[in-house]
Amino acid sequence: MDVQQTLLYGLNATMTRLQRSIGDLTDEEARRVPLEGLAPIVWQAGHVAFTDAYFARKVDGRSRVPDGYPELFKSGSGGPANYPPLAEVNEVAAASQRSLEALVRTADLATPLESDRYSNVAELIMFICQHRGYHIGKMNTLRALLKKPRLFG
Amino acid sequence: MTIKDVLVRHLQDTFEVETWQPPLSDAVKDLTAKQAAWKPAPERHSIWQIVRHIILWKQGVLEAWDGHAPDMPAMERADWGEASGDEAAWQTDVRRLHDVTAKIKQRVEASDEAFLAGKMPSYQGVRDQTAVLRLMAMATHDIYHAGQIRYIRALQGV
Repeated sequence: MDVQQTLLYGLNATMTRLQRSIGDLTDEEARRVPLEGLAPIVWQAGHVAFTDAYFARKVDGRSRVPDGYPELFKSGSGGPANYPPLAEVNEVAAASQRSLEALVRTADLATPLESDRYSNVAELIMFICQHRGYHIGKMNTLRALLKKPRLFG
Repeated sequence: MTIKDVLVRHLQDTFEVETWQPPLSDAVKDLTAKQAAWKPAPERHSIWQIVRHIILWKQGVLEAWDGHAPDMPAMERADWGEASGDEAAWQTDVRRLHDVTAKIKQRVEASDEAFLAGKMPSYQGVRDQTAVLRLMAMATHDIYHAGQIRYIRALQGV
């Protein structure tokens, strides 16, 4: 077990949970807002997909999301909007995941990065896992409010 | 860079240091016992129940670390009991959460790379697990519940 394997485990475990959290939802359920001020599940997933790609791009210079995603899914958004279908968001999330996995396999994980949240590529990847975990938690509170089955402890 | 560096940072950022999202210790801060015991619906979990759930499974990690694989079905039966009480009882559970977390972090900081890369008992009847992966999953579990708690607080307007 080394740093690279540890980071790949973190990325895979969090992406699997994210995909399980949206796997049994309809687009209508994913867009439903149970209370003003709470962002719907489709926003949570889209926000993770968008920010994952944003962070991957900081290192690989290539990762992209579809037009409109930055506006729809940036931090502080999340109100009623014309969100894309959940299947599309899932595809974007999967593409971001592939970019991040490639980055972990090929980049020098000790490469310094300028941020007050992480100091190198390895810490960036852990930061991404934490960010995903936080939004998966929100998604599962929203699932509970939709009366969907509980998935995790 | 070592797996210990990565793990210690992960433990800090999920429990005690705000990066982008509030860590678990912030998520449970400044709540009254009544707010902690509040449920969005009778069949849903309260913040207090979530806190006890996290303590239970972290104690399981310590048991495994000491070489005693926990009995998962017994833990599941003990999990998610009703939780309510006065302010002192709530603060006691918050303190227990901090204490068990600090104990695990101290052990990680005192560990060497070989231990973290090696196996530790998982649960009775379940294959042993790589220590760093178990501890990483435990910390990610913290931030998962921090996200849940954030929305349970929002539902109460706190």
